[in-house]
Amino acid sequence: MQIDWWTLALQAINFIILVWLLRRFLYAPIRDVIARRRAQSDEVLVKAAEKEAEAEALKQSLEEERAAMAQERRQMLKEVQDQAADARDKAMTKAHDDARNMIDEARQALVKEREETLRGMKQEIGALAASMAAEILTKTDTGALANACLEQLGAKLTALGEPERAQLRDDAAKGSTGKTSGGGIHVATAEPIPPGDQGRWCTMLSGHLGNLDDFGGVVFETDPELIGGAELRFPHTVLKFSWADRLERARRMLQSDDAAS
Amino acid sequence: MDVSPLAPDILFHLGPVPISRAVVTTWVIMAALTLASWFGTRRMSVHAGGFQAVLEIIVETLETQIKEVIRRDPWPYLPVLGTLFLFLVAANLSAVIPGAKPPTAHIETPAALAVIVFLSVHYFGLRSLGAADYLRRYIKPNPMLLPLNILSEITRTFSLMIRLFGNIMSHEFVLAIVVFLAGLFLPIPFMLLGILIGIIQAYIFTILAAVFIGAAVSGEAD
Repeated sequence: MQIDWWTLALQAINFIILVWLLRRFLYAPIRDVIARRRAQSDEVLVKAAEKEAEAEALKQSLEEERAAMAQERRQMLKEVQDQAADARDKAMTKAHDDARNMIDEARQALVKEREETLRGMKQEIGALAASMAAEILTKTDTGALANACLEQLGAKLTALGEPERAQLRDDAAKGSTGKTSGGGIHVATAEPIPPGDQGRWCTMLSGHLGNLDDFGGVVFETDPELIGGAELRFPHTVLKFSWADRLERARRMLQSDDAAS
Repeated sequence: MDVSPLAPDILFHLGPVPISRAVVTTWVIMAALTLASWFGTRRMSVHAGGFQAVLEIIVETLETQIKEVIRRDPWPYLPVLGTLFLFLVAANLSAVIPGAKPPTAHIETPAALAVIVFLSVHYFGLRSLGAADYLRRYIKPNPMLLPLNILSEITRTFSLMIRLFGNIMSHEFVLAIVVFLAGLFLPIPFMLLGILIGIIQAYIFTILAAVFIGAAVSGEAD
């Protein structure tokens, strides 16, 4: 077997040329396009990762926003509930206060009305009692009443001190000055005092006031308004022992008790 | 005088240089591969068309195979090893074309390719490891093994050449004998078998070259 070295050399050169040609027209272009495709794929992957990250961030943001909205809603609801509770408490308090005030006013009005009613009833009762007493007294024995009145008048004059009696005497004396008849002492009764009893009146008066002639004597008068008893009338002083006076004082006392209460 | 069937078939001379049939066939193969590559990659697009996709599949398959053998970035080795495989497939399968003879059936072409592989192994080894580290490999594990290591480099290259040449040449002889003895149609199964043998021999030659290169560059930092 023989070897053609020219052929061997040419084949070696041919192969080297073929390596260069395929490197130029096959491997390099395909390597470039593969690299470009990988770059694009990587870019798409990077973009996809960025989009995923953005989506994740957006999702996170939405979840946070939703949580914040829920929190805000709960807070607003709580505030509204608190406000409603406050308003309800205030309304309840005001209603209670108003009711209490109304009850107090009603009670006060009721008490006042009751007092007014009682006062009116007492006045009516007093007037009715005075009227009934006057009616009863007008129908009783005037003589006995006159005697009782005489005794009370005597006891009253006895109870007065000497200065008071001296003033009465002076008053009676001044009232009788310049008069020919009708002295400074007048005895008024509801019923006329019989002449027999007028002496007893004069004796009693002289026993306490001295000589009645110094005062121009005693004048006996009749005044039906007195109902019973008598009044010893001096020019400037009146000693009242009449039933009308007593009934009037009793009525005033009842009224004064009502006013005090 | 009978002409040896193993002798180169000189077609013409370019000056003092004889041009054999194997060389002409190789030129045709080179032109076909280059034109096919140019046609498939003249309008490269990220969205590959039909023929571009085929070329991409072929290149990526070669890249994957080389990477699995060398276990590092395959792109520096792809032009040599990929071209070796594509040329061997085309050369071995050229037998199916009527009137064509595979260049690898003559000793010069496998010898040229073996020499290329031999030189490539040392080129890549020196480039990867440096001269000192690369040459130190020949005295490991013991300097006494230096002659054996050198002999191993030569014999494995020689075996690479002979394996390819022997398989393709013997297939051609068998096919010729069968045609001579049995007629026209009987060799068809043998021709189909020749396709298989051609592809397998191309694969073996390329893988062995990749193994030699991978062993030479081993120790290179990733």
